[in-house]
Amino acid sequence: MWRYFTSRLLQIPIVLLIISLMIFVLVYVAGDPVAMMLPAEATQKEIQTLRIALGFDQPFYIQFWNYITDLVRGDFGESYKYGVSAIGLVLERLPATLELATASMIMAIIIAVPLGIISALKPNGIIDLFATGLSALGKAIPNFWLGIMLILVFAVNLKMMPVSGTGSWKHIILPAITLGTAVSAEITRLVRSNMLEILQQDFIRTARSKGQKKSVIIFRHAFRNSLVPVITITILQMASLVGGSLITEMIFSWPGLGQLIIQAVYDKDLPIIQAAVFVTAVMILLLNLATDVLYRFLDPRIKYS
Amino acid sequence: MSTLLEVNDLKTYFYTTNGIVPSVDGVSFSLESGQTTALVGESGCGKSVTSFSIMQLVNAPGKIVGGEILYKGEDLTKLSDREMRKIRGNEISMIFQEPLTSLNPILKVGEQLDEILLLHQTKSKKEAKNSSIDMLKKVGIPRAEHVYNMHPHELSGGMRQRVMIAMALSCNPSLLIADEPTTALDVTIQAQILRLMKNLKLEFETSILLITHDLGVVAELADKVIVMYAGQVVEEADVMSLYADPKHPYTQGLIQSTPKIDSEMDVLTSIQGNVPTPNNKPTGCYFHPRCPFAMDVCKSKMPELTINEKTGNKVRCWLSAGHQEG
Repeated sequence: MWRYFTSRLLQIPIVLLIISLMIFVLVYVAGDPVAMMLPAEATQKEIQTLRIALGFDQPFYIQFWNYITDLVRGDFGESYKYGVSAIGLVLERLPATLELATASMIMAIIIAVPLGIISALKPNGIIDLFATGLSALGKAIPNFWLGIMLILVFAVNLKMMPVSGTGSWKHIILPAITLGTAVSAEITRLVRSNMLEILQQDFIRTARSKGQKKSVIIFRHAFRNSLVPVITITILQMASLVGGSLITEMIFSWPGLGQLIIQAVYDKDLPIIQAAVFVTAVMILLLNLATDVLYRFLDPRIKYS
Repeated sequence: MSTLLEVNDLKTYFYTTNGIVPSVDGVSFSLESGQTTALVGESGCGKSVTSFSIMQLVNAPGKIVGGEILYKGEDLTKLSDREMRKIRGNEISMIFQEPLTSLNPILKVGEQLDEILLLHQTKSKKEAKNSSIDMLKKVGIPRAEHVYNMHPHELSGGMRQRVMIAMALSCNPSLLIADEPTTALDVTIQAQILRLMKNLKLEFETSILLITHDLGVVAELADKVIVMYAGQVVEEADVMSLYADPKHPYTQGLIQSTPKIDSEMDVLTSIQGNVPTPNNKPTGCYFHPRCPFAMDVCKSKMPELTINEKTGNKVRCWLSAGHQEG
């Protein structure tokens, strides 16, 4: 198994190299940012001088080479707009994004797992029907609407929560619900269908024939067996959140990566875009690796060679 | 010999969307301690449902709707879930047809063996581990300490069935219900498992209720045989008289359709037709549409299970009741 993980770890730089090439090409074809960086009345000569200074007059491969060699040193260049290290800006925003992503996932799991299990224990019962309706709703409601409604009800009318921004634990609740609702809906359905299938298995009957208690059968024998697909989806969802959640961050003025990226795209601030996409890619690669490690612990039948 | 288990007029029905399905329809029999009793019949005749009813493990939409199951004089159908859990695995335990799927795939063999001991016998994990390893040795598993730490998928089918048997016998139950214990195994492994069950029965003095459709297995293990058809008992006899002189045409058909190693035949005899589905049973004797000796009375009236005073054997058939084609 260790050989497998060593080789997986060694693959990461290769994947990252390919990703950086893609980022670079996309930004390259998007056009020359110099015109944007100077005031509108700048002369052709001034533009040319800046282009040479920033290296945009060089052929593609030399630009790419410079980009890669800087990248290896952890240097993504300076933000055109703020004039400070781009990677520094990105890493400064990363904790807020991770905090929101984690809070949403925790909220989603706390709701989804018990609801999914109870639904599976009494399929087509009242709780199951309620959960099915709630899941359909949760998946169908768009983020931007849910966020605004939550603010309207809990912040503006009931004044229980702050409207937006950061500062206290209360600030994270509404954005976490906004982001977590759809995820929660998906996990509820998944837990339900997995549990339904597993509760029909022969080994559950064996556990009952031993005289085991229902609660132990549900958790020790059934739920643990249903975890592999649940973990897969949970981590995939987490991966989609670590790049920053644009709409939710905008609505709640959450100072995460999403806001930084969208602003950088408006400003054609290439170093920030490159650094942000790169950091997101690293996070996703690490999450995928974590999934594989978890699989091995959850299901001994999964073997890596 | 004392009676260990007595089933009286057991009725287990399934309430499906297509109506009520009487899977077990008034079954009565008794098990003597120390004996092996075989419950025989084709698929769908209610054998397994009978055994699940004894364990009170019938899943919804199934339900025991009538009769009693007296275990050491106590009616199991009247016990609470909590009281029943003390009996399951401890007093009455069960092994299943599919050793491949009957063990939890993510728990180690040892954890699954310890579980039953920790439930009924001991509080100490160390003690449970020692007894589990002992049991694994008793069922003939080599390197038991090693197997204790393995997962089920690392073992062969025969080994897994041995683990199931070890688990079922680890609390030294008075009754072991074996639901088609060798059906999913290779013939050579079948023979090993049967020999093992025979030896363990003597060692642990356990009564066995053996559920099977394989008359070879019956001849190998059973003292008494109960033949079921369409949710009813049609014949009950000691194993010798059943093979020598089967009374019910269904039993005769079953025996004739078993291939024999010492006689040559081109086509294996089979009983025409199928077991009627439980919600579509014929009138009269349930077997009459398939019976070569069916008379008029068979089509209209259900015969009673009657006891032969001399032999103590029972049969449910108009022929044995002395009816003649008139």
